[in-house]
Amino acid sequence: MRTPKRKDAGAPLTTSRAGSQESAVKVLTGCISIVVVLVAWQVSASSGLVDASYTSSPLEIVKAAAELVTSGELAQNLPTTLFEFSIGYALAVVIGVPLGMLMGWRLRVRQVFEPLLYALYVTPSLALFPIFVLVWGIGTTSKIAIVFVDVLATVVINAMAGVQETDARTLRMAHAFGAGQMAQFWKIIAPSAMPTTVAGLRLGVGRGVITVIVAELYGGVVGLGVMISAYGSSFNVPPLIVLALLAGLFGLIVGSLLRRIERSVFRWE
Amino acid sequence: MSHITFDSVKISYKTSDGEVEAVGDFSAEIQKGEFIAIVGPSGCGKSSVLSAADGLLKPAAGNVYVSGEPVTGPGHGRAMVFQDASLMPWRSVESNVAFGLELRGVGKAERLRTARELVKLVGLEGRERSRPSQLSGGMRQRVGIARALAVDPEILLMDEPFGALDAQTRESMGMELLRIWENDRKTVLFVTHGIDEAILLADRVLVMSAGPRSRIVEDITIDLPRPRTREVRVGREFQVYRSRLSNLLFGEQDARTTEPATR
Repeated sequence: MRTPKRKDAGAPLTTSRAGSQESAVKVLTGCISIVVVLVAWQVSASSGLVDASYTSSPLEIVKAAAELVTSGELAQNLPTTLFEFSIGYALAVVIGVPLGMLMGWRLRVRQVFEPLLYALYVTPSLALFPIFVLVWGIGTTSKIAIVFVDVLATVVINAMAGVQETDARTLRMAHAFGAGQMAQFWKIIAPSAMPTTVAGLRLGVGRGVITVIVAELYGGVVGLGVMISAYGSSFNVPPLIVLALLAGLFGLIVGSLLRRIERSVFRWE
Repeated sequence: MSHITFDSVKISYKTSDGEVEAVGDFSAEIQKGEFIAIVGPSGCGKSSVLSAADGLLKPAAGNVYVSGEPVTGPGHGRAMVFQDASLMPWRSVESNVAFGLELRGVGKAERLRTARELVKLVGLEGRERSRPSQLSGGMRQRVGIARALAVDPEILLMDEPFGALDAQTRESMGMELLRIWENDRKTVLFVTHGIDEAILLADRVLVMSAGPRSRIVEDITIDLPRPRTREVRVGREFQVYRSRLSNLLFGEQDARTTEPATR
């Protein structure tokens, strides 16, 4: 026999259909404000109320988007940015999660790495980017490195916090039932640290996207940031806005994907 | 040979003011199959005595022996039930119950079969796949008991298992525990601050003095017939045990106010 999935605590007893209707209504009401802004923007731009050369207009932006796609310019630049972000992010996760968990679990490891990581976390690492460029050049390597450094701190600190939040009573229980150090880590500490760890991964996406774009703004050959920088210096506003929206959209998609995973896997929270 | 022997057990804690000797001298002999309740004012170190019996805590002096062997750490013959149940919220009921067997390397199919039997025994049939967050406090404690029983221990150590429950649930859980215990009469050490609970459940009640340096002030044999029912507590003998324990724990003065009004 399967038990029904748990609803959010405190939610009234609604059927799942009523629930999905409710969320559809929520999305629609959320759209109202966006539509209103877009319409007002378009009207004030085409009526000459504001100077469209500064503000552009929704229609112009759509046109610019179509052009960026058809000309192949986007296809030329987007993969590089995605590549830099993905590799830097993946490295940060692969190294950061185990390191953070180890730091939370073992006092000595924490004492060794904690000052360094907090320094990294609070330093705007982009300020160090010129050094990265000196070492690795203006190409993709320096961008991967800066994304890695920036995401690593977030991932490590959250994984560590997750481990440290482990309920001491649950650990005591495991010990009483004969769990050794390894069993305590894999059966108690790691699972109970997962929600906070994944929240760290989600925060890391936001940081990583900002970092890769800003690093490309500083200098590069290909990439979204390079395009933004080029259009910006020639005061070509519409494509600039398209690219900014694109970066935001990417962060939103990856972030909500992780949030979805959080909700379905960590239902006990 | 007695099943559990406490030989002048001393337990101390390090605090900011230095070392505090919580339990001064705890000595007791417990026979196989006995149901022992340990009562005492809060802070007397009764839970610490239980931890020492499980090997979770090392006495500052003295020793605990189980079947003649000194206790050095958590061992196979003993299982603990905790006051807050201490379930793993990310696991289902049956997976929580199977935890002890999992640590002992029992195969998945076998440990789940045992777990389901025990879930049934504690009256949670149909909730095998529920999460702890979906259960009431009493149900969670049933899971805690099932988990302890799953490893088929010779000794059951219970640390105020019903302390966080409301009075009604508490009493029915007590009766439930007796029903399960009658099956195979394991040796039970049951720490509680409830006088009624102690008399209702135990063969012997060990009364501890207030800490620091607490010790056993009285060892009372509860000579009430088994199997016991709720009706036991309206009997005259029960009341005699009750006032005796009240006197020991609260002193003569307060005892009068805790006794039921005479008609």
